[in-house]
Amino acid sequence: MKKVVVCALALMLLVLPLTGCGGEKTNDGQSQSQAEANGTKDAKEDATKAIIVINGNLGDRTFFDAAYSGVTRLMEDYDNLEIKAIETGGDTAKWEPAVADAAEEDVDFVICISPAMGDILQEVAPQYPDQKFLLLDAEVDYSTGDVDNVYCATFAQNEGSFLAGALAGMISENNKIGFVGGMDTPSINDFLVGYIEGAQYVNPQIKVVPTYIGDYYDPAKGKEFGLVLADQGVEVIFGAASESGLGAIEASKERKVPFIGVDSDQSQYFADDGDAETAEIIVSSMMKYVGEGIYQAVSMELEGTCPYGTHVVLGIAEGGVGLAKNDVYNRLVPDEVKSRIEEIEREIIDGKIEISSAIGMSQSDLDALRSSVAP
Amino acid sequence: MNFWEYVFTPSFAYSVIRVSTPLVLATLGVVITSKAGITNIGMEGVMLTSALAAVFGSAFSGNIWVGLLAAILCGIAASLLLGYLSMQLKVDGALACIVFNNMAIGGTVFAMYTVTQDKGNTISLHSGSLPQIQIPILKEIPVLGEIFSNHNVLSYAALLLTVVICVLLSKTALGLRIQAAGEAPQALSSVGVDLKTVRYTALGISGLLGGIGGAFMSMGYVSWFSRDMVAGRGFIALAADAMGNSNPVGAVLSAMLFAMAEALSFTLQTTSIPPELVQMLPYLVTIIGLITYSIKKSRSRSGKSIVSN
Repeated sequence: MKKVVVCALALMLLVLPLTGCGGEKTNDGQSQSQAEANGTKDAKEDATKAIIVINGNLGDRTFFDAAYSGVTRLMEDYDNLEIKAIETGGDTAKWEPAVADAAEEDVDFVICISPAMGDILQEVAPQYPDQKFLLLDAEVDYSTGDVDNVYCATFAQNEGSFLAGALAGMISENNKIGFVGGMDTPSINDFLVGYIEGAQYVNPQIKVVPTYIGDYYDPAKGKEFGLVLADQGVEVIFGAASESGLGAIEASKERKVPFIGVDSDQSQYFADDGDAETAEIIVSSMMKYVGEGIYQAVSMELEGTCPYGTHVVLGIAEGGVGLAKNDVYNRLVPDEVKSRIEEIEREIIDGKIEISSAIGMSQSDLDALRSSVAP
Repeated sequence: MNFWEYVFTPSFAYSVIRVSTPLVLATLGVVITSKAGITNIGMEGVMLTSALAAVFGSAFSGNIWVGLLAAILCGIAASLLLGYLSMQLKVDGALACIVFNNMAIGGTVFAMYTVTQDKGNTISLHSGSLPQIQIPILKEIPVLGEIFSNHNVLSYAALLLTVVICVLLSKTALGLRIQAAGEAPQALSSVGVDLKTVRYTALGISGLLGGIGGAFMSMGYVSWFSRDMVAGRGFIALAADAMGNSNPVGAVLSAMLFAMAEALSFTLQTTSIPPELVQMLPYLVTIIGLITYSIKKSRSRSGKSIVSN
């Protein structure tokens, strides 16, 4: 008897925190139960409803937070719009069921973000032909599947990283810069490829040391990699590694090595938390305007102009990527570097610079590029 | 630069000590419980909850040492809870630990969100970190100073605690009782020592060690707590315990071997060796270690059988 009680209690303890979090997820400030209590009689009966699947967690101070800022803006600007966020956490096995669950809900469209969602929607979208999907930062293969109900927009992270590389290449004095990636995957290498090419563009002698943490949720390991790079004498670190990357930022603060953040203005996040010392070390961030991408896509959907069945690339010209030009950037980066960056931005927009992409690049080409800048 | 130039550097040796600190502390915690006959799979959760307790403790009191104390108390409480579940309420030990580990992952995020409105990390709390210690005289010596001085205070604590646990287990009455609790529980009861008390004590000490290990994660390695930041270190401690045959010195050395393999995998990435190959290293070392261990064990077993024949 006692055992049964204990097991029940333990289960409750296990489930309670989870449902606790669940309740907070409805994002308009109402708790889930309240929203349900208001129910069908609510004035928002005819509201457009949507779900955004966060295949990770909010509060990462980079990618998902940036995405969610777009959702927040949408709900401020459109009265009759309700977007609910579902956070799945880092467990990849939960991602596909979460998308399927979202598609089964009584919603008008489902928003999915991040590279891993491409393959998942390729599977899930054909099973729900009446549901509409907005996919950001990933693409589906329109030629093979029945996925005409998916709109995808990807970000030219290689273009943004090109600027990051150019910045790093110009501010390093010993021609040695470093990179910390989450994993050795095409989507992370896309950052690296742009970074290397950008650095080479402004500084042919540049040496780039790439490292991969192999884990997105281990800040201690991220810090080790930051320290290893600092020991190698790199003068700028560019990090694309989610939570683990925060550890690398800690390392660069300790060793006073300028850091270039990723996805959202990471310097701003630290400044908002009152951590000025860390904010100062992040000279800029390679912005992926995921929030803007979501805003554009949802606006198009609401106006009925969203081109489902097509893939759009948002580069510097489309406002999809760019460098964060905040206070720290303006104060710490020399004027001639700033003007050169602007010049390069224009050249990219005008199509004068060709930037490779790691997505679809062969391993041998990637290895060749990496070894061409190896110290 | 070639391979050896990366490895034979003071900064590499220094990083091995840093990487090994949480592993050594967790391993000692696992060793003491497995000596007492408990397989402590819950170490991961103990470290995780303690890491958060450390941040809360130091953020709300404004004193880093209160943070460390909070972590230790939290570790002990968590560890005793595991004991209560398995001994008093007779829940299967492994199940209790798994439940506890899962609860720790969800529960810490919940607690963190309640306090900071942030589900990712506690950077906004500014909890600070424990000091690094310069060792007088030693720090002046060229290479040795670079390797052994200027570590986090908890790294030295880990070293000291290794000695303390060795002495405790082999030289004190409590240590011998703990060993008896694992090897011959009936013998313990027959001389009138309460088995549960001994096991609770072992769990308490294990919680203390895990608590310090957790505090190192959030107040030594980095200065904040982030979701699931222990990242399997509690489980690596179990492997180190198995490899060291629950002998504190052997287990700590195994933990340091894992740490070395891991540190090597960080450093070697900056060479031209492919990262996939390098990332495999810690696992490779684990496998080799376990094979060596099992060969040794089977040899000594066959040796025994010859004697008994």
